[in-house]
Amino acid sequence: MSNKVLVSTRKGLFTVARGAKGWSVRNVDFLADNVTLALHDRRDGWSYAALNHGHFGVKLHRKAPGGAWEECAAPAYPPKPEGLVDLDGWGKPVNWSTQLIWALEPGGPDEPGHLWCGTLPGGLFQSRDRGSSWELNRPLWDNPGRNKWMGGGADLPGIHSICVDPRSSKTVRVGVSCGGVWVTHDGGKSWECKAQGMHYDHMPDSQADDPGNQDPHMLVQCQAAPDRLWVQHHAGIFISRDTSESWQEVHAQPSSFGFAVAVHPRDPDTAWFVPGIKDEKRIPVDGKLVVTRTRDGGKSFEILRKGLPQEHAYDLVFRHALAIDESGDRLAFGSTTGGVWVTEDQGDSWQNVSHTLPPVHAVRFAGQ
Amino acid sequence: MAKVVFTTNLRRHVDCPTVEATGSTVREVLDNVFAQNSRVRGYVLDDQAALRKHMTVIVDGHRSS
Repeated sequence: MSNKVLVSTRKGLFTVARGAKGWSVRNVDFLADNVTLALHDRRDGWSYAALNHGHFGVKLHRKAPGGAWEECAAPAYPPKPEGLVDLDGWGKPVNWSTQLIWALEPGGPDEPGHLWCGTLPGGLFQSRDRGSSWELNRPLWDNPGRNKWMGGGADLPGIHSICVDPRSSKTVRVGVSCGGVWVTHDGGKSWECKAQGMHYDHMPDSQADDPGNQDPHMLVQCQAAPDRLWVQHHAGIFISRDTSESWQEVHAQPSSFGFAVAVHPRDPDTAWFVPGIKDEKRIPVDGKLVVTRTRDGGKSFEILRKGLPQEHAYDLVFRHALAIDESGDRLAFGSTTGGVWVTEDQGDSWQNVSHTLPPVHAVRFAGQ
Repeated sequence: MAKVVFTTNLRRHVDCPTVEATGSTVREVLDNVFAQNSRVRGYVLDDQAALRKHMTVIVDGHRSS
């Protein structure tokens, strides 16, 4: 059971903690700086914070248990070979320079200190020393399929989701916007696109089912039943019951559009989403902020609203801004308008932590 | 010998006091500064060693191209 949440915002990293009177903001680090993502590594207690300073670039900081924040290495691309024509799916030249740390995950339990990092413009990096150094995964970067990847809401394509399979640390799946789901079974030496069954209705009919054209907004995997994966896709919600070999669409009410998804760590049929109206109207339906929950693998959805604003609420929840703890009972989410909510009963009721934080990029449970 | 002064908004993030460095070009001077202070390099240059998009270098009051 986690009693702490790291909230990454446009103006700092806020720590929200549970006390005798409920959840509240306890601390802020990097105040006024743009913290885009944070990670608490449950294997060793280290924490990581990704910052985007804009003018000064993307940085990564880390903190040992009981220690202070220190800057470590940020993932950096190798020199681009002179004369190389490297274009993205839009036909635009790819700048080999980290624009955003968009995913940060620990490796498997048998890989202490090993981290995976996804970036804009699409590079996947590995560190084997807690962020002291990083290496670009060349097999994925050099895969010709990468040149089909294109930006969606962001100008550049990127890797936003990384799922290390609990059965084997060598099996890793990554979600790409826009570029489908890619899987390796040999620790990153070879990769395959696995998005068969997804459908992107903004593409021409001839390309709408192309796995490499899909725009999964977020990919998650059930820890106890890892055959089951869920994707909140730009065009709807998809579920895989066969470890991403195939995907089927399910439909939620009041909407299937959104960015975030969380799956229960032990019950693969139970998942949560935070819907918006649609891509061209990225606000809650009828100005009422709700969470949707399925308990039957997407056959039906409940609409959860107790404790959430039901009048003039225009909160959008980004892909990393919904999290579930290891118990499966506690979830937290944060919004573009600075709201943060926590539930201790799987979403039946929500406690508001703040309405006035800076825009929230990401939330993450962080142990005790 | 050039005197290299970093702006205050950069000094908020990384320790980069005013230093003197040798070099016959702006690049050589900066490379010599970065050799002494490797951390500041990543704040000024991107992964391809190009000046970051919103950065500029002023030499004797004139913008360096």
